[in-house]
Amino acid sequence: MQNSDEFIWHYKIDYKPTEEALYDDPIVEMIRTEIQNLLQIVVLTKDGTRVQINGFKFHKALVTGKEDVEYKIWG
Amino acid sequence: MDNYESINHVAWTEPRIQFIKQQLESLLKVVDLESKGKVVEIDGFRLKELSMWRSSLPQGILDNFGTLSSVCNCNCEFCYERGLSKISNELVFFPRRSMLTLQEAKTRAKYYDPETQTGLFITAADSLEPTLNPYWLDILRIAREKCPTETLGLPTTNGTKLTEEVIKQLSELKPITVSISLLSINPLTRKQLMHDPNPEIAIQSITLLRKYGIPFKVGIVAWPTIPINEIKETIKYADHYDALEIEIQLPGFTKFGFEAPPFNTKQQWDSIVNIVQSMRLQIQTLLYTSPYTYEVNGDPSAVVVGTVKNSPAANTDLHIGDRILEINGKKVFTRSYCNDLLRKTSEGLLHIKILRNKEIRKITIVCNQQDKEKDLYPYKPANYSIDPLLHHGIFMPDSFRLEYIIQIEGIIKNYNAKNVLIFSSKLISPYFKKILQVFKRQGHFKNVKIYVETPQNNFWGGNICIGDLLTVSDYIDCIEEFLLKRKVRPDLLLIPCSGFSNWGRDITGRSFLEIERRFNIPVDLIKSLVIWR
Repeated sequence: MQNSDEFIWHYKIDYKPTEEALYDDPIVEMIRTEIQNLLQIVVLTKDGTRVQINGFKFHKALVTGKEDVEYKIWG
Repeated sequence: MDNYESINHVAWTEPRIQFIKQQLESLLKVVDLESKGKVVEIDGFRLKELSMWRSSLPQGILDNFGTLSSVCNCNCEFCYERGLSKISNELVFFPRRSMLTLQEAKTRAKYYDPETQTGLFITAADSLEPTLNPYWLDILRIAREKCPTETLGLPTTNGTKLTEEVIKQLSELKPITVSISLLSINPLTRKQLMHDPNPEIAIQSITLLRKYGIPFKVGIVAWPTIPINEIKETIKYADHYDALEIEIQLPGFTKFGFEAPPFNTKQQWDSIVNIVQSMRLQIQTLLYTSPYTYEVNGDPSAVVVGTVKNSPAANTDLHIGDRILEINGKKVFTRSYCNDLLRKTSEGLLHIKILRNKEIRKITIVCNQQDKEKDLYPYKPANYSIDPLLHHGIFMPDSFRLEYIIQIEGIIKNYNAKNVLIFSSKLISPYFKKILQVFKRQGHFKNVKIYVETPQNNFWGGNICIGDLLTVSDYIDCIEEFLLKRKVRPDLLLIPCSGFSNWGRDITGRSFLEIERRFNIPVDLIKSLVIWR
């Protein structure tokens, strides 16, 4: 933890979404925006080579009922 | 709590904080957080273990402190801020009407390592008049205490607070240098163009900085309403009081500040370049235009722009306009490479081969750094270290580097690309295209079609033509036009990285990766350095 006499860098959390949702399902939206945000600061690779993605779907192993649906990351 | 830090100000330098914010926001849409079985509400987060948030980017301690003040007491006709309030939410650094606090400065000093010159990530904020921060001198003292021998460079000041009492206090913080935006030695001009109510203070400060032995750099924005004679007199004044260097800024304006162009750019810039070239030969102080690339039409040749007064080079036969061909037997092609060689050989004898009036000459410069006590103002006042960028006192602004071509070739090979679109700026592209042809003739870039495009600075508009100010939206505009016009689809896009932050963000906070997603064409960055001058 920081010492009490140190300057504190703290940031506000906004509950309201800053951009329009692509999907009604909040879980799908959470995952979509997490991937989208992640891709703003990292690139994905396979054996050292960059891999581009533009969507995702749930693992079949997961009992979600959504396993065959593919979701777009960007609108 | 309403004094949260703005996330925009770290989007540029530390987007991982923005990422954490977005992650938390996403989570909070689907879960409630609990403590001991009860839902707790949160509205923010703070960074812990600040040592984890140190940047690997080396910088001086004052640069690491960031903006001392983002307020100003002048209202310059030519201020780059003019009209920016219209787009305040689009820029990462604007608006932040704030002052660096003593607590933040102390915390930053605590985590700053003078040896590696690294510290906490910096926050991007509008850097305006530093002396308006009520604690600016205390902040400088904090920096001095942390780094006892570092030459502190005060961020550019308009000089309105540089009274004798203040300069005296500054002199106690030596080694320190001051950069002053003087504009003119005519008080009326400062009053009219800068709205400086007490112009005499800034004008007088030049004499006081000299009196107290503080090296200073003078900046003059060559705004067209300043009479030419006044610019010349101001240059002579700065030279008389031994300025370290005089920078004549070719005036710029954006579409946000002016609905119609306030002057003819080419006419004004050419006229100023002519004056500077003639004045350079009449004075002893370094005098250069900014951006210097305009003056030389993108040519990166290692031509001497000037020497620092009292420097080793100033005491030799080296002239303004001499073209450096060799340094200690190594061939020199560009100013940047020449600077690299000069910086590497800081001690002993420097043998230089130059070309002057079609005649090759040899010059030897003796560089001896042993005598720390010796006063060689403004080059190296007593107890100052020698500026590592100006060891010998030979001044030539950095330029395009030939190594970029080798780098570009390597990237193209990695991607196995055949149709490559490379972006260059208006000022650099004439030379870049020429040098590309030379490399092609030598057998480089076989079976690769290279297109060079110069994006317009549409975001800023006006007469802005600097590549380092191009935004993601400017690149997108340019690519769209290229695809439409050329009917060719490139398989690789190469962009100079110097206009982006370490995290690949432009001034509006957008990532260059957006370009890749938009066109579905791989984009890579050319590791190029910012050419400030």
